[in-house]
Amino acid sequence: MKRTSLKEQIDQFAVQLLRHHSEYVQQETPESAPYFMTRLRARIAQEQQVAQFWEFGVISAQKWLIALGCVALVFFFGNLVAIGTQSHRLTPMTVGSSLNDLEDSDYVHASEEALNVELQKE
Amino acid sequence: MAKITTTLPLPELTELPDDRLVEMTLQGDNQAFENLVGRYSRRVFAIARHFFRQPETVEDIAQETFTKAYFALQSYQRGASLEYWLARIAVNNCYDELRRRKSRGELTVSDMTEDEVNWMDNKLAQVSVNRHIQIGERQIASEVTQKLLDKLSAEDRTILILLHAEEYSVAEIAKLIGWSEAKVKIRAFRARHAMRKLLQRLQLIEQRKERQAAASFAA
Repeated sequence: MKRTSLKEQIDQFAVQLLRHHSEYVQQETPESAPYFMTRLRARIAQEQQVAQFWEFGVISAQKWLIALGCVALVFFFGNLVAIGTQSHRLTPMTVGSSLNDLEDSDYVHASEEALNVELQKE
Repeated sequence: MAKITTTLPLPELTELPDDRLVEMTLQGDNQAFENLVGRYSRRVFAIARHFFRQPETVEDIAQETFTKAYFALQSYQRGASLEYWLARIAVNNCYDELRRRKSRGELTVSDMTEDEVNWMDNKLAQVSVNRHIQIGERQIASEVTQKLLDKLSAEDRTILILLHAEEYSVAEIAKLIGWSEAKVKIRAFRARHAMRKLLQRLQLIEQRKERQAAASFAA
């Protein structure tokens, strides 16, 4: 019981210390420091410069991204067109005709001729 | 802030409400912002002074608070208390600075001046008879409190100052620092415990010194 009350008393003492500290601070704190406004103006101006620098950087980066995006889009649509024309050749309707073309092709004739020559040699 | 422009003469500016000055600042009237700084600089300095002793740190906190406020004025809700809004920025700046420092040395009596040691010795001896601190003792109480607070963690220190020095409620502190009310209560309990332990340790040191002095006197 005695221990608890001592604990409470120490707590109360701590609170008293903090309140007196606060009252002293309120009483002693000046309106502001000398030349505070001048330094604040300088700091805000400095921060504005930094912000402008970053703003410029971000705007430049945005422009570059837009330009790169446009180039990427041109390549993308170019590829789409190329793939479109290739896929037109390989549609199921054209596969049969492609095979017929292959049969008539010079490559097939040449290989058949080579085979015949070898057979004749044997 | 480089170019100062104002639409109204100074005496008229001082009579305008905060919200009007905020609007004028947002329209580029820097004189209006300087007027706001003049209105609340004492409050911001007092908050920083509760946390730090060094005048340079106090001014740095005040500068940072007003700089942040200047760039964030757009987010200030018209009709709300500008003083509370600035206090919130200042408290968060102080808390961040404390966390950056993270200096928590062990408390030794040698940290205090001889006057402070004697005063604490006297006060701690009187704690059991519940004697109060006199008004004339405020300065020394403030110095001692700062040194005791230096030994606490950033969280404990912030909570104790806001609760007992700034006298904010738990709900207000929760809003100020962005913690839940439950966290504020738990932190406050821990902070009081830490402060009590510090004071008890000082009390024990003094009692030991007294016993040693008595023993040497008897010998």
